[in-house]
Amino acid sequence: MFPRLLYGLLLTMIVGAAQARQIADAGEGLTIEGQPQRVVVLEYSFLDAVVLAGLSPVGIADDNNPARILPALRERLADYRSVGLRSQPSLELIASLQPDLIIADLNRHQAVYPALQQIAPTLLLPSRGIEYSTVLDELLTIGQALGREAQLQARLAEHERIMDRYRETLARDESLLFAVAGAGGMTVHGPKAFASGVMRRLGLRTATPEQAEQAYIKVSFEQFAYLNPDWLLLGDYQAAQGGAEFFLRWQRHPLWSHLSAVDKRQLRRVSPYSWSLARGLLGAEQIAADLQEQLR
Amino acid sequence: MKLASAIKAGQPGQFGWFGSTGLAVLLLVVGIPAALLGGSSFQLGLAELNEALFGDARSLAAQLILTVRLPRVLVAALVGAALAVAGALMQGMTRNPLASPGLFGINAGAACLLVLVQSGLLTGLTGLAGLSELPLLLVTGSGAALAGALVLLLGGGWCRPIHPVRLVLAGVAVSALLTALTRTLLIVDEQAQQVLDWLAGSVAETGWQQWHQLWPGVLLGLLAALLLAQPLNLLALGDEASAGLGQSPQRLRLQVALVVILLAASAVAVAGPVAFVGLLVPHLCRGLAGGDHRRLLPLAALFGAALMVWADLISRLLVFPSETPVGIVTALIGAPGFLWLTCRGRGGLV
Repeated sequence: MFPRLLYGLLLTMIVGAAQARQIADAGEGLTIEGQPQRVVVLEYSFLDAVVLAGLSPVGIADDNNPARILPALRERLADYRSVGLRSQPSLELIASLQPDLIIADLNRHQAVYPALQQIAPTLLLPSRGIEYSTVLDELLTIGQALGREAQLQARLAEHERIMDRYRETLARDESLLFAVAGAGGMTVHGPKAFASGVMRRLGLRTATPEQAEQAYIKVSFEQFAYLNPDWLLLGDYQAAQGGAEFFLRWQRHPLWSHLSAVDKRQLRRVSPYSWSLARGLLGAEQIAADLQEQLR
Repeated sequence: MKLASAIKAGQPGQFGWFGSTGLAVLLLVVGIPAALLGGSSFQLGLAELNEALFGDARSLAAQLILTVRLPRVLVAALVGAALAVAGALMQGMTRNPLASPGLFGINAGAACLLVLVQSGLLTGLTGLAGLSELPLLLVTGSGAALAGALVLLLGGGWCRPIHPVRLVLAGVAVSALLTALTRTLLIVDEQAQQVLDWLAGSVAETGWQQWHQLWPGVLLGLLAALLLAQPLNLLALGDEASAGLGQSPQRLRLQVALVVILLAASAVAVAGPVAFVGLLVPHLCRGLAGGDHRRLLPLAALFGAALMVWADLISRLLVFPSETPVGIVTALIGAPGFLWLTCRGRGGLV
């Protein structure tokens, strides 16, 4: 009696695993069977979920620059083929890798979505400018597509514990602001941006304009002076070239020393790659770790 | 026939010169305080303006007006004046009403060199590590001047006499080439896309430092332009008539070209390629006050300045609190304005 029940249970599990699953995404949705093994990822933010599920993608759109991948993720990657720029991934290269799942960005890859679908089942999810909570939801969607939902659910629970622990030590009354500096000027990450969501999750207050609808807000010195955060976390994309030029100019501005973050010596440099590009679980944990180190 | 049309173009327009100048001055007098105070998250009012300009400027608001707003408005006005005068000179020199300072490849040259430097490609090609740390202004200024010189050389210049049509064709070709190069670099290097805002033209990041870098070149260019006004009037009579009146059209074209490059390169280096000011404003002024360059050039300077000051104010309000590049606003005003002017057929030379 009992062994038969066990066999029956085992059989349903096997059949269940082989059965096609329906997964809803931002595109037409996809039907997928079993556990995909050869995954191609077209945006940094999806990499996180795939790696945490215990897979290493065969192809990544890494802008031909592996240094932009979060170090914690990079060291867990096996050999992969770069499929080119996130904005213009090479369809030929993707097809040659014979993937069984492609994860693409709603924003960047809408135009090539039908072509990608012809190559392999394609999961289309928003990535640019998504909120922290969306990242967590997408993690589970990717888990479903990979047939490894339980594994990611467990990792998500661990993530919550990790973030709770950081939250206890980080909580403070001062306001924080994450901004990136580039050749085009200062871009403040608004309340809907990933890094701001992570900071709120950690019990911190962000100095962004509340009403802002955009995730990324370009500001002039005047508006920056108005936001006037107690802590400025600056990600400088031009750090390797000696720092963004406009920022050097800002530092010579007569009102610069009156800014709270400058006055209190609370201007900190962080990696724009970890804080802005790596919108994932590990990215969020990296932000928390950076904050713990920097906000002492 | 040529003479008749030239004399007609020289007649004052409907408004007359004094009326038009009054209008431009009024636009500036209202626009400058509005741009100094408007579109801010801070509470800026006339009291703060008074404190900033005539008081001891101790409050934060007054400090902001003095250190952020004032240089920005002054730079915007001067850039507008420089572009408008450069456009008027360009149209007078080529006797082509569609000519604009951009035809010298100045915008494309500045953008191309900037993207080359920002993407690190130039460093890779030349092996000079310090290139990517050069100040923005030096990079864009050199790019603009180099492209201008190249177009001048191709269009005739030092060895051959300048031919207006050849010059325009050379400008179109060089601009297209440089723009294609810029686009390619932007596609290949995602990080270089950060210069997209600069490519649209913006005065958001300008301070006193930019003002000090801008005014000597523009002042020199404007004075030189005024000296060239009467010779340009003679050139409007045609090359033969102008030569018969004792001036060399070739030498004049070279002089005007150098002044245009000086004015436009100064403006582009500081504010990026601001669209339509150099094309629209000279047209508008010619319609208002006629084609006499002695009147047209100062009027174009005033209207160019007024247009940029207002466009800067609008650029701040458009997607508040985010900054919109001012070049987008001038294009939004300029494109329909230009269509309206051409449809009315009062473009002077048209």
